[in-house]
Amino acid sequence: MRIVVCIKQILDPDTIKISRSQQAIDDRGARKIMNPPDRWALDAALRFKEADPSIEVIAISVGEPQVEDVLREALALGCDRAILISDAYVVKARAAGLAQIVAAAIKRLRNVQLVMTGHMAMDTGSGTLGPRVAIELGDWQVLLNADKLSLEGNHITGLQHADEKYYESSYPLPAVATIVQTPTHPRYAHGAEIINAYRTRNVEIWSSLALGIDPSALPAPTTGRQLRLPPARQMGFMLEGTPQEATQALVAMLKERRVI
Amino acid sequence: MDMTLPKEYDLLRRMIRDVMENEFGPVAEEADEKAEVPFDAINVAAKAGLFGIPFPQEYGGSGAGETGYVILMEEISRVDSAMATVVGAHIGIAAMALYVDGSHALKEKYLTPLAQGTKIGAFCLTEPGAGSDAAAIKTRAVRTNGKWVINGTKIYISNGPFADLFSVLAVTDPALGARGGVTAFVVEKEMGTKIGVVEKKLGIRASATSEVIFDEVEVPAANVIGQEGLGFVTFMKTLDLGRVTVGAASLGGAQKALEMIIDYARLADRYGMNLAHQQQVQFMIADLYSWIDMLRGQVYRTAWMVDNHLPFAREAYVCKLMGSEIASKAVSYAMEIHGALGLSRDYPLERAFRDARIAEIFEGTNEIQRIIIARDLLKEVGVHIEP
Repeated sequence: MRIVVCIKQILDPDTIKISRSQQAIDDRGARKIMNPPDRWALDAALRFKEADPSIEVIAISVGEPQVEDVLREALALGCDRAILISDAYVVKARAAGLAQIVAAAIKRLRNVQLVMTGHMAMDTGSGTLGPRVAIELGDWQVLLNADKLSLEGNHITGLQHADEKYYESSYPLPAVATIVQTPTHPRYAHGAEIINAYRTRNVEIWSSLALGIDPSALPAPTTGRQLRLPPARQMGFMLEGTPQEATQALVAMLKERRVI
Repeated sequence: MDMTLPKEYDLLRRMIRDVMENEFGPVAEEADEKAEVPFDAINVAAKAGLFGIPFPQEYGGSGAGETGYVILMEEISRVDSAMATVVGAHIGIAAMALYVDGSHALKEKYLTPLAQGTKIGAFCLTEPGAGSDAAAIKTRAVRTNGKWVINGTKIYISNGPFADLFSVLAVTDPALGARGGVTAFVVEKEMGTKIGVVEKKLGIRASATSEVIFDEVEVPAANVIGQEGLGFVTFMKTLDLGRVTVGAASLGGAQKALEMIIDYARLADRYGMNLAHQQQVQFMIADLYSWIDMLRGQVYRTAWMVDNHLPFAREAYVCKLMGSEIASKAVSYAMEIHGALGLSRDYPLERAFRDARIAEIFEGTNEIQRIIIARDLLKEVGVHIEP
């Protein structure tokens, strides 16, 4: 059985600055990292592999050649293969187009039973890749925003997070699972695997053309209109008086604002 | 001249930093307070390969060479200097002696478990009458019935109380002394080593230091590291490598102190003025940064020389000498800027201050480093200075 993990390289949010005009991101000196939710997905996939060594875990990413660094990290962590889909067309793809490209690669791999990815990318935050890939693959089931995953027989089971509620859901394979953070001990790559990931192992480079994708038929990328920071938060205030008075004032205020 | 580090080292550094910050960061203060070695964290570090970073993969290491090793020591010291002593004693001298001169069979048997971190090593050189004057050791090994019998006491042995394997220097021919009469051995704890006094220390308290006593300890002939009689050479070559990493550990400690200074100066106000805006604070920051930056250049250049099989001994002395002094200066400046807060045991600077001092002492005191650097330079112009 094959599990594909879709991984995005993002700018480390801790290393970017917002320009003075607050209209642009200043990424000089920023570090590129594996999107943390994708890392959680990768960890979950590798736990499945630990339990059943016959499982093959394949990391896939789309983008510019330097994206291969996150794939080498995936190899160091224990993936069997890493595939980077990179050419002049795919680097421009977003959302819908990206899902088509990823789905084409998954179809080409054959025997993929489970596709895993983070619940969203910490940079763009759209969180649509997983469901979009599921549609492109022919309406695979989607275990959305899940943690505590288990693979039993022909089913993927997990705890889905939806607002304040959790649903334990189980879907037959093939399926797509998008992962939220699972509190587990962090997995560290072994030093030797890190060295080998760069010196002896290989990131396969695929092109969209070889996947039979017609670049002109890819959906137009989403374009950003404007970038701005959320408005500054208003200062709070203290309710004076005895606890009883303060509570009454609070209730009156919440009613006035139609919260209760 | 390409000074960029290959990308695998970036990833290696990030992994080590994660291990240190996640596993050792939360326990370092308590381990120091209780003078306990944090074995749970050490086991996690061993599983990630941290106890064999420089050694070849065929012996259970990561194959990251000296460059990987200085990254390791720099990152460890940023979080926990005591751990730098545990790892430095284990990799840098105990296992390194085996790596430098051990036979293939000896490496397979002993270097492999050390590199995998399933066994911990200690390096036994210092004795009551022989520290800086290493040639004065008295521990004796006598050949009896095809075995060696070792008698003697080693002191101030880092990792002594919990080590499984000991690299030991002993006199095998008193007539020849250091010039052909001293041999290096690898000794298993099970062969009968005993632990004597465990030191109560000012700094690096989460590492353990003790006497190691050899009382009629029988060691197989096959456990000689390198050639019989040439142990002094093996140990000196090993210490040359160890010095590079004392420099690297000092680099990490100094860098951490600078980060603490900048962080504190940014936040604290005195006389209505932010500390960062005061010139004497700026001067300290600028001086410290400059020294640290030069130290980083020296440490990584020396590691590169080691990995490229160039002579590096003199550069290694400079790493140890300047590294330890810059690190001491850094914690001293940090103490100056933090004022009374720096002395509080509730604040990590106090621990860093106590931990820094040892680097000027172990692996050859700084006075010894100066003497050897000077001798080495004077020898080039025909001036020979005898001890």
